[in-house]
Amino acid sequence: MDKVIKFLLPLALLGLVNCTTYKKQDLYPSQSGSCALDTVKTVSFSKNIIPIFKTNCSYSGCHDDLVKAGSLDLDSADAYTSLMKRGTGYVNTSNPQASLLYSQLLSASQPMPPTGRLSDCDLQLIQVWMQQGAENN
Amino acid sequence: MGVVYFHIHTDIDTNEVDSGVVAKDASGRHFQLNLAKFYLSGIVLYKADGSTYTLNNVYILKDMENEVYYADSVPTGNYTSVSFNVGLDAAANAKAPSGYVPSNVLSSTSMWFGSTSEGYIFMNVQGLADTTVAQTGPVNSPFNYLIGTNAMLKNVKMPAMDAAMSVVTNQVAYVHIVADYGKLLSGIDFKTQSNASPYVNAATAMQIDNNIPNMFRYEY
Repeated sequence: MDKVIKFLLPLALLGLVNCTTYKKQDLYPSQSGSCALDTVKTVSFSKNIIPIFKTNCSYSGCHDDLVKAGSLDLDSADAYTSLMKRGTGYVNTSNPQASLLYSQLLSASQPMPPTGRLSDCDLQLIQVWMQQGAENN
Repeated sequence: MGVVYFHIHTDIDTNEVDSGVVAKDASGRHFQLNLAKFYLSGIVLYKADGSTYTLNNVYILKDMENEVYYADSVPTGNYTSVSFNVGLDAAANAKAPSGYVPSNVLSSTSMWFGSTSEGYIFMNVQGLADTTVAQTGPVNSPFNYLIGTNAMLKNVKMPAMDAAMSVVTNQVAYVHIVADYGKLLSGIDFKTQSNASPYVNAATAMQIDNNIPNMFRYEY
């Protein structure tokens, strides 16, 4: 818990985090019992974000390297380039919640993935990854 | 209140294109866009009960380089459709770009015919086409189309969305639209109708203008 507080308190003080999105139950979602944000200070695109895409987005017929639904390829090798393509708006490091990527994940009418909303932990990983500069790390 | 953005793809048929990328339209013609810009204004959001919300004084200049555009804060609710003008209302069209700060999309001199009597260029489309019958030649024949004047202001009423767009307090909702330049230039002969504006080859410009409502579809 100390690690969580150490990580979140500075962000909250900077106004970078909406406190309501960092409730205890969000950081420790019941389905898995833990969240990577508990143990990592810097969200890794390859270790934390790509696995989310692999499980939920880049499977066959959706955002894979063949179909590229919505012209968005979230296959491991292409995801970063596709997301960061200039002008697409998928990523917004200054206002992650306004990003196309994050907005679609929260969309009530056209939610992505269509099979069901990501866990709060996964959503926060993506949000924090953007807040931290959306590095290809 | 929630926030609405527009997310607009630039396509030729079903191919999303960047500037200079050759693609094939639904009729098999090969061409590329080097520049494709248009103004959106007069945006109206519709709810299922028929009520509407108009985004007053909202002007968007869509180009090929950017897909995401902030529109406005709008009341929360489920919106089922959208309409917009391609071009500017008469009042805005009567002003000059010099009257706006540089960050204002209406300050674009490249989207202005050069005088207040001529007004703004509502849509500016330039590129290169393969004009061979077999469509096996080089893409080297230039085309240049400028749409403008109050008479060519075109209103586009989109059909009902498959799923209503939910605008939620303090969240961002996107209107996802594809602009298909294959449909815009449908029926235009790149060889004999290679350039047009309200002031040169106006009949061709009107032909393109009349294609505008057909060029938009929802992304999903």
